[in-house]
Amino acid sequence: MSKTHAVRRYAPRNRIADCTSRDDGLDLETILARVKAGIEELQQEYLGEAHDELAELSASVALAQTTAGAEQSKAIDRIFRISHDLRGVAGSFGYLLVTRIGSSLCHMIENSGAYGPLELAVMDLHVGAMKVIMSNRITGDGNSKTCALISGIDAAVRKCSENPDHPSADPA
Amino acid sequence: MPMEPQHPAYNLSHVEVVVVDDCPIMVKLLGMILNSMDIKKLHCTTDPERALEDISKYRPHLVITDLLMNTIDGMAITKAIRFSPDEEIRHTPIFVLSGFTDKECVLQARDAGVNEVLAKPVSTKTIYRRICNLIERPPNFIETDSYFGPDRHLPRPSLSDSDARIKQAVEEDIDRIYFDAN
Repeated sequence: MSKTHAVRRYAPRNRIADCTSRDDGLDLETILARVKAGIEELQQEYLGEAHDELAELSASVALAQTTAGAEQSKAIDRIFRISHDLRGVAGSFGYLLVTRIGSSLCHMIENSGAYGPLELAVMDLHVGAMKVIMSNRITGDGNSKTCALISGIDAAVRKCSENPDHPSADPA
Repeated sequence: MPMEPQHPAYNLSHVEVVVVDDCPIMVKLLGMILNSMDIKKLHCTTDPERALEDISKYRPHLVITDLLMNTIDGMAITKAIRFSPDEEIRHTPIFVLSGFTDKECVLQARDAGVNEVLAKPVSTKTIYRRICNLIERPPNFIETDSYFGPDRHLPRPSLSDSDARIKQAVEEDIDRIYFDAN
């Protein structure tokens, strides 16, 4: 039985339809071709930015390895932000593996409340792998060597989650 | 394989869009994608505060915002739009871009009143189709004590509104989604 609540359901003016006409614009194929050309134009700029971000990521991991407490938390937050940005953009430029590794790094940080030497070493492994992918311009799903790289990262992440010496492990 | 929906070649040259993402290359990429659709009135920025100013100034037809940003995030931008005293701005369609598309994140964004949560990396096809959907099937708006924003029901094109039983089912859905869940 329906309860009585004040619900107002209405159709607001469709402003976007009001300023749009049919059949005299660009079809999807033309749009995709234009985007492809645009991505090629942005490629160099992207590579420069990705290089700088990976350098900052390395520096942040190094800082996290040599600090503790609030300073380490700040470094970890920076690692998360940069890897989040890297994974969000890389796939659009064809670097699907950077998106994959960046996601793994983000998930690892999200799922781990504390960071000991093993966790930080695995973070460094992620950064190293992304550097290899970018410096060798490996686009798409990669090759057998990169498959082994990804498997290695996944295994390292699993090892971290099972680590009995994890800083947040319950002593009981 | 389901057929991909076909849309007419819409002329989007008069559509005005505000884009905000604190990652500069992402802003350029989104600007380029929208420009490739012939959207010429673009206001792209890496500064969320500037985006809020642009939204007030230009009253765009669409806002595309990143979710995770340093100062003001995508949720805060959504709330600023949905609580705007300006009626046109309040109804602006909002696409949120996010690297996080787990269920919790999508539900939070939906409850804040966004129209679409789009996964990063962005897909031109997805953005284009979502814009076409806004033109062809704009969502109704719902206003309750605890929610204001686009109708969060999935469209049910096959249902007839004249059927009293279906009407009742829809009302019960509204109760369930907008009250029991909140």
